[in-house]
Amino acid sequence: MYKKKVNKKLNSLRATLLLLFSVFLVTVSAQNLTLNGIVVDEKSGESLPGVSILVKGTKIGTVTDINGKFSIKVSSASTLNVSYVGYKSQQVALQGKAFLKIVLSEDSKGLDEVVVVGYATQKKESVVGSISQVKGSDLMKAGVTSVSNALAGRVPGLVTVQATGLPGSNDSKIYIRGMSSPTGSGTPLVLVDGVESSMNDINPSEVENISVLKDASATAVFGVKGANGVILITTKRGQEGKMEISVSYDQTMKQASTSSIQQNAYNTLVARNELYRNKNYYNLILSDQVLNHYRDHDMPYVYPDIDTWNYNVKDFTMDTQASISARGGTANAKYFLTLSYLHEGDIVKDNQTLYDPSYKYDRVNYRMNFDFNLSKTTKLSFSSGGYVGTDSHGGDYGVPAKVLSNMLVSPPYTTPYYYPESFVADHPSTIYPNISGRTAGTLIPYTIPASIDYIHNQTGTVRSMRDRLTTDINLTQDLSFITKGLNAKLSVSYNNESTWRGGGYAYYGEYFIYKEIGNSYEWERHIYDKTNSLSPIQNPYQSTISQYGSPFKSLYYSAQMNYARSFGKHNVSALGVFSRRNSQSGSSFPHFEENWVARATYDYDSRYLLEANLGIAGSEQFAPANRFGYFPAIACGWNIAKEKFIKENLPTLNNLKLRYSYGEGGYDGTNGFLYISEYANWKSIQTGTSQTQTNLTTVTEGAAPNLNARWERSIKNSLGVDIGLIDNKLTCTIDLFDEKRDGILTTRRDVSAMFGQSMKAQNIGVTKKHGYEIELGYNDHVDKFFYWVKGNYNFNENRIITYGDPAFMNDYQKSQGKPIGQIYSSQNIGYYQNMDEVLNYSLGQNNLIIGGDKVLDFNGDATTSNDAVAIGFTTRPNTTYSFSAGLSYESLDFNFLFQGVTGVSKSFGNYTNPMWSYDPVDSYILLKGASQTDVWSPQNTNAKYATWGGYNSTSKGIVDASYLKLKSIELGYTLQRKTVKSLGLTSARIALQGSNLLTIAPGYILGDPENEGSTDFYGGDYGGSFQFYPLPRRITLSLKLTL
Amino acid sequence: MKNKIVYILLAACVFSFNSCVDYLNQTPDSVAFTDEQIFTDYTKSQAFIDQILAPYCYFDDNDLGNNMDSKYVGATFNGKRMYGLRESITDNCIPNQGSNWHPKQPYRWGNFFGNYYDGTYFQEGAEQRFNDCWKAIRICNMAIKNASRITNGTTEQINGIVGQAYFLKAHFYFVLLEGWGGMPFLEEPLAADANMDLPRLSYTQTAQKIAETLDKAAQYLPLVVEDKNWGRPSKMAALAYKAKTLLWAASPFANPTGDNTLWTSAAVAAGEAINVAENSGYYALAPFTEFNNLFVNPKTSTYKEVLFGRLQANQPIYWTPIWIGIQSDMFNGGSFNGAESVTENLAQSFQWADGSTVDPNSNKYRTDPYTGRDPRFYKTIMYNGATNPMVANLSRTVEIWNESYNNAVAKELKVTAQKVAVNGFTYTGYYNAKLCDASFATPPPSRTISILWNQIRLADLYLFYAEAANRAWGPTAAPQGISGFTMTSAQAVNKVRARAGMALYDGSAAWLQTGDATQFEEKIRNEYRVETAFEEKRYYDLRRWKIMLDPSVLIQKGVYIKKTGASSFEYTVVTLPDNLQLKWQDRHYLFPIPYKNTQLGPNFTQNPGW
Repeated sequence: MYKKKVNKKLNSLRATLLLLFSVFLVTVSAQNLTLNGIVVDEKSGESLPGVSILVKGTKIGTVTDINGKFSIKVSSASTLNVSYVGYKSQQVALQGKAFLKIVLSEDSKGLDEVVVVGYATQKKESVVGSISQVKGSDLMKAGVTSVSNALAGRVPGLVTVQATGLPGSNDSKIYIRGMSSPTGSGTPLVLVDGVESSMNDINPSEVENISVLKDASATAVFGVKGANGVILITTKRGQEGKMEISVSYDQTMKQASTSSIQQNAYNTLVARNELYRNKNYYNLILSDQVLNHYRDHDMPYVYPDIDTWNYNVKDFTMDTQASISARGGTANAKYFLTLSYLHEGDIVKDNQTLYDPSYKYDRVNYRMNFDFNLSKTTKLSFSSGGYVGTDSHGGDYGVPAKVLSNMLVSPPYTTPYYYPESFVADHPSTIYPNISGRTAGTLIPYTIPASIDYIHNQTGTVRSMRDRLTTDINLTQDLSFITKGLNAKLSVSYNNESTWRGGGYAYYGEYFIYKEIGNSYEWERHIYDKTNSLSPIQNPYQSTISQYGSPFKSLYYSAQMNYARSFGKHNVSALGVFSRRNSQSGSSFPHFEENWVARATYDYDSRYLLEANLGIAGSEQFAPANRFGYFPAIACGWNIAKEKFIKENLPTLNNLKLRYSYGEGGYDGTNGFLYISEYANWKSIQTGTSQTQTNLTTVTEGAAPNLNARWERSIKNSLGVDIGLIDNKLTCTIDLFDEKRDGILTTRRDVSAMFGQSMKAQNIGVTKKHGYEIELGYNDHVDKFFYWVKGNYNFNENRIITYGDPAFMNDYQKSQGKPIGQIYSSQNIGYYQNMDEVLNYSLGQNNLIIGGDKVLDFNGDATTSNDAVAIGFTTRPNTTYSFSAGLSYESLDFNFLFQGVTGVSKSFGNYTNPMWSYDPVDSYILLKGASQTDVWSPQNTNAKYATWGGYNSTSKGIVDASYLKLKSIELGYTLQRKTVKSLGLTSARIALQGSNLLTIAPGYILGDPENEGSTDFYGGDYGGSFQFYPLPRRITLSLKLTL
Repeated sequence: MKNKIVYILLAACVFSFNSCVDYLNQTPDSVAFTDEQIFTDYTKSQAFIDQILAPYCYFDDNDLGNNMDSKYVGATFNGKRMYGLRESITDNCIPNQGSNWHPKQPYRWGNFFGNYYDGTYFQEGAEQRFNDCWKAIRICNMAIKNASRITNGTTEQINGIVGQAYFLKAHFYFVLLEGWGGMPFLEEPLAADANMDLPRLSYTQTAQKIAETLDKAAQYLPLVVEDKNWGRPSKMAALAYKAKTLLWAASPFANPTGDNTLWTSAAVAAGEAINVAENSGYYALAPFTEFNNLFVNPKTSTYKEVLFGRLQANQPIYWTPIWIGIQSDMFNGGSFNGAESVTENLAQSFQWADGSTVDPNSNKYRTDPYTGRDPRFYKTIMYNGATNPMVANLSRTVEIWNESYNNAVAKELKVTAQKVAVNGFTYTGYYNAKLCDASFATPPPSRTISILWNQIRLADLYLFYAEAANRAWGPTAAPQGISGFTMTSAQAVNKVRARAGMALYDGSAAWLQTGDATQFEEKIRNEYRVETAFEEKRYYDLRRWKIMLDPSVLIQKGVYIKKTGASSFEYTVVTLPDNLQLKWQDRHYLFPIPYKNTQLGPNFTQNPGW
C-alpha cells in the first residue's frame, strides 16, 4: 500500500515535469471537436503517461496524463503526430473518431541507426566500412563477467580465445578476421570512449555499445595501430530526464569444465609394473602384496589411492557481481554514475586452516560521466572511470596455474593428503626427513608435481593489487558562426594503471614421512621451510618477500575539427584530428606517438556514398625520414534499395547496400629505437704484466641498427553487401576480404655468422590473408510471441609469403608458404615390432623397446633431429561460427548462443601418452579409458598405443582442437509493469543464465579445447601446454531493478 | 569567458603543432653512447677495440675451470666447455676420468656433433667459437673503418688502434683458417641487409690475405710494447704471426703438392722476423732456469721471449695448475678430477740427454727410464720417483706404480682392486708438471698466481723457421733473400736445444746428424712437440702436418709400473684401453661449419665430410 503511494507520487512528479516541459512546446487553442484517447504500450498493453500528441501542421498539442489518457480539441480531418521517447513515432488519422486507442511499439532499432566510427558517429545507412556493433545489453546476456568473453560469437569476423579461467585473468584474446602477422600479438586496438585502453577489467554493465571496425576504411584513421582492427567501446552517458537508478545483482555458481583424467592407484601400479618389466627396471617392480594393499585400501595412509583432482577441486564455487548506477539530467547537465563489485571465487579446495591460499579476485569498478552545456554552443564532457582489483593465489610465485595442472596429473598412489587429528596426535615425532629412504608408499614426496600440498599450502599466498583510473575531458565548441556545420573538439585524457604484487613463501607446512618398522609403520613429522628444514609456523603473509609493481601511465591530447552539412540531397562531412600520446610502462623509456587524421565523406541522398580517410602516424622509434607512416583509405557504397526501380519493382527489398573499401593500415610492432646504434660499457680488461697490471673499461656495440626501419603496412580490400527483406525481418550481411601485410618487422634469419653481430628487426616479412563472413538473421512476431534467429559463419586463412627463410633451407622447414602459427612435428610411423627394427632404426635414441613408437626419419640423417614437418592446423582457428536464437512471450524471454571453431590444432606432446610421467622415476598416471588391450603386444601389433613405456608422441601429440560450445543460454522474466509499479519500481527483471554449459569436442582429451597452457615464467619447465586453469561452467541468477 | 577558454586551448594547440619535430625526436636512456660519441673520441675508440681483449670472450682462453663467466664456463676448446687442458684431446695426454671426462671424449672419438648429454651441446659450442671469430673481425673492421674519424688523438694513438685492429683481425682469421679452412675475407663490416652467402677463398688465398693484413699491422705497431700495455700486440707479434700463417699454408695439409714457393715464403717471413727480433735488443730466449716461468708466474726475462700471449695475472688460488697437473690425495684431499694423464707417446719423444732416441724395449728403459733424459723432460712431466716440492715436504718422492712386491699402496696413483686407476688419477703412469707452480710446497690457503698462455714465443719462431728453411733450402743450407741473415735450419733448431742444454744437431754421433730434409723434418717436429708440450699447440700441428690418422698418433700408450724392490721398478709400455684411444677420420682435419651458415645459398660451402 505504501509502495503504491510512492509509486503514485513518482508518477505524478514525472507527469508534472513532462507537463511543464510541454508548455514550452505546445500552445493549446480551441477547435471544433474534443477528442479523447489513451496511449498504450504494444507489448504490455499498459498505458503510457507523458506521450506527446501534436496535430500535424499546427502547433496544437498535449501530453497524456498519468493514466495515459489525453483530451484535445481538433478538427475531425486532422492527423495526429504521436511521439514518445524510446518508442516509434506514429501518425494517426482521426477520420472522425471521438475516441482513439493508440498503440505504440518500442523502438528497438534506435541504437542501430547510428554507428560509432573512429572519432565520430555515422548514420548506419551511410556507413561504407565493415563495422559490426554490439549493444551493451547483449553483452549482459552472456552471463559472464568480462567484456571480451561476452563478445564471443556475437560479432562476425571476431575470433575469441579464452585461454584460462583464472580468476581475475580470464579475459579472452581477440583477433579480428584472424591473424595477419607472425610477429606481435595480433590483437586489435581497443579504445574506450576514444582513448586507447584495455578491454579487461571493464564492467559489462557500463558499456553502452561496442563497435568492431574490421576493414581499412574504418581503421585507417587509427594509422599504425589499426592494422589488426579496432574495437571502440562507448560507455553509458547521462540522458535528459528524471534520475533513473538501476541495481543489478548476479550470483553465479561455477565449476571446472575439466574433470579427472586418471585411473585408480591399483590399475596404475599394475600398468607401471608392466612398464618396468618392459624397460628392465626389475628392481622397481612392486610385489603383489603391496599391490593388494593399494587395491584393498587397508592401509590408506601408507598405500593411498587418491584421485588428486577430485580430492582438491570443489564441486562448485561462487562468483558475485553487483552494481548500482544512476543516470539522468537536465538539458544542460547530464550524468551517469555507477559503482560495481565483482568477486570471482576459486575452484580449488582449501585444506589449509591457518590462511586462505585459494585463487580469487575482487574488483570494484566505478565510473562518472558528466556532460555540461557551458553555453548554447559549448559542451564540456568529463568522464572518469576505473577499478581497483585484488587477486590472490596460492602456489609458486608467478605460476598460478601450476597447482591445478599438477593436480590433474598427480599420481594417485603418492599422497593421502589428509591425516585425521588423532593420527597426527599419535605420531608427533619431528625427526629430520630422510628423502633417500623413500619408497613407493612414501607420503608427500618432494618431487613436483606429486606434492600438491607442497605447492599449494606450503608456498604461501601471492597477492596482487591492480588499479586503473582513466580521466577524459572533452570540450566541444560549435563554430557555426564561422560556417554552419563546423565544430571543434579538444580532448585530454590521462590514464594510470598499476600492479603491485606481494607475498611469497610464507607458510611452513607440515608433512609426514613413512617409516616401516618390521611389519608395522610409523610417521615422521616434518615442517617444511625453504631455508631450514625445521622451523616454526609463521605469519602466512610476508609482504617483504618478492614485492614488485609495474605502473603504467599515458597522457593523450587531441584537437579535432568536424564539419557536416547538407546541401539539398548532397551531404558532406569532414574531419581532421591531431593527437599526441605519451605512454610509459614502469621506469622504461616513454613511448611517443603523434597522429594526424583526416576524413571526408560525401553522399547523394544516402544513395551514393563516398569516403576517404588518411591517417598519418608518427613515432619516435624510427629515423626522421621514416618517422611518419601514411595510411590512406577510400571506400564507396551504393544503397541500391533506395533507387526508384527497386522501390517500384521489389518493394519487399528494404535494404540492399554494396560496400567496397581499399586502404592501408599500419602496425607498430616495434620496441626499441631501430635506427639508433647503441654502444655501452662492457667488461673490463687488464693490460700490463703481472707487475704492472692496469684495468681498463671497454665498450661494445649493441645490436646493429636498421636505418631504414619503417612501419609494417597492411593493405586491405573489403567488399560487402547488406540485405534487408520483408520489413527488414530477414537480414543478411556478407563480407569478403583480403589483406596483404608487408614490411613485417622481424630479424633476418638468413644471416651468416660472418656478419658478426646481432641485428635489429628489419622490414622483411610478407603475408597474405583472405576470408569471408556471412551473417544471417530473421526476426518476427506472431501476436505477442516474438522470436529471432541469427547465425554467422566466418572463415579466414593466411599464408606467409616471405619470412626471411634462408635460400638453401629445406622447403619443409621454411615458414614460407605455411600459415601463421603452423604446428610442426615429426611423424609417428607404427611400432618397433622386433629387436631387428630396434637395432636397425634407432636414430641415435636410447632406451628403445620393442613395441615402442617409431618416428619417421624424414630427412634421412639417421637422427631424430630436424625431422619436424607441418602437421595439422594452426594454433588459431581458421573457421568460427555461431548460431543464436531468442524468443519472448509477454514477460518471458529466452535466448541462447552456440559458438564453434574448426581448423585448429594443439600440440600436446607426451600428454597424449596413456601412461605418462612428470618425473621419470615413479610418478606415472594412467589415463582413463586406457587399458592393457589398447597397447602393443606381439599379438596386437597394430594397437592404439605403444607398449607401456614405449610411447613417443610426435605427431600423435597433435590433436584437433575444434569445438562447438553452448556459450550462453538465458531464461528471463520481466515483471509486468503493474507489478513493478506496485513495488515502486520502473522495471524489474530476473534471469537465469548459463555459460559454457556444453562443449562438444571430439578427439580432444584433456579438458576444454579453448583452454591454453600458460606462458608464464616456468611454463617450459613443467610441460608448457599442460599448465592451465580450467575454464568454468557457469550458472548465474541475475536480478535487475530500475527505480 | 567560455569562449576565451576555448581560444586559449586552441592557441596552446597551435603552439604544440609547431613543436612536433621535437616531440618525436627522442633518444632512449638505454643508449649509453651513440656511434658519434664512440668513434670521434680516442679513448672510446681504443675501448672499442679493447673489448676483444676481454678474458674468456673472443680469445680462446683456457681458464682452467674458473667460472668467471657463465657463458664461457670452464676451459674451452673451440668454444666448448671443457675442464683441463685442450692438450688432452691430442696424443700428448688423455682427459681425466671424472665427471668432466665426457665433454672431451667426443673429440677424441671424432664426434664434433655427438654429445653425451643431448646431441646439441657440441654443435652449439662449435657455433659459439665460429661466431666469436666473426664478431671479433667485425669489431676490427669497424675500428679500421672509423679510425679516421677520431678528433682528439695523436697520430701515434690512432696508428695504435689501426695496428691493433689489423693484428686482431688477422689473428681471428687465423683461428678460422686452422679450424675451418679458407674463408671469405671481409675488408669492411658487412651491412645488415647484405647478401651473406659469400664464396670461400682457398686455404692458401686466405693465408695470403692474413699475411697481408699482418704486414699492415706491422706498419702501425711499435716493435716493443710498453710494459703497461703488455697484452697488446707489437710489430714483433705481427711479424711472427705472419711467419706462422705462411708456414701453415706451406704445411702438408694445405700444400699437398709440396709447392716449394710456399715453403720459401714461410721461411723468408720467419727469417725476417727472427732477424728483427735478434736485432731488437729486447727479444731473447729466457734462461732455462726460468723455463717454467714462461707459463706460470712470469718474470721479466720470460716477457722478452713471449711474442704474443695472454696473461691471467694475479688470479686466486683455484687457478693453480694443480687442477691440471698433478692429481693426488697428497695435494687436494683426493677429491678432484682434474688430472690429465700424460701419454707414454709424449714421454718417449723426449730424447736421452745425448740426443739419442729412446728404445722402450731396452733394458735401461725397462728399469730406469727417467735418468739421463732431455732436461725439459723433468720440467714437463711428473713421473715415478720425481722430486716435487709438495712431496718433498713429506720427505719422499712421487710414487706412481700399479703393483708392489710388498703390497704397499702408491701415493700418487690410486688403483682399484682390479688394478685400474681410480678416476681422477693417472691412467698412464705420468702427470703434467710443466704448468705446475714449482714453488708450492703445500697448497697455500690464499695466494695468487699468474698464468701466461703464450700464443707464440721466440722458441716457436726458431722452430717455424727451421721447419720452413729445411724444406725451402735444406737442413744446413744458407737462407736466400733475407738481407743480413744467415741462420740455417739446423742452427735455428740448435738455438732452442742449446737453451735446454741438449746435444746440438752438429755433433758426430749418428743421431745428431741432420740427414736429408725429410729426416730432419721429423726431428724438427719432435723438437717442437717436446719444446711446446701442454702449450695447447699440438692439436693444430697434427692437423697441418696431416698426421692425425698416423698409427703412431692414434694409438695411445701408457706405462705399467711394478715396484719390484725397495727402490727398484719394472716399466712396461702398454696400450691404453679402447675408450682412451683416439678415433679420428679424414674429415676431422677441419671442423664442420655451423649448419645455418651453409643454408644461405650455393657459395658458402660446408667442409668435406660434414
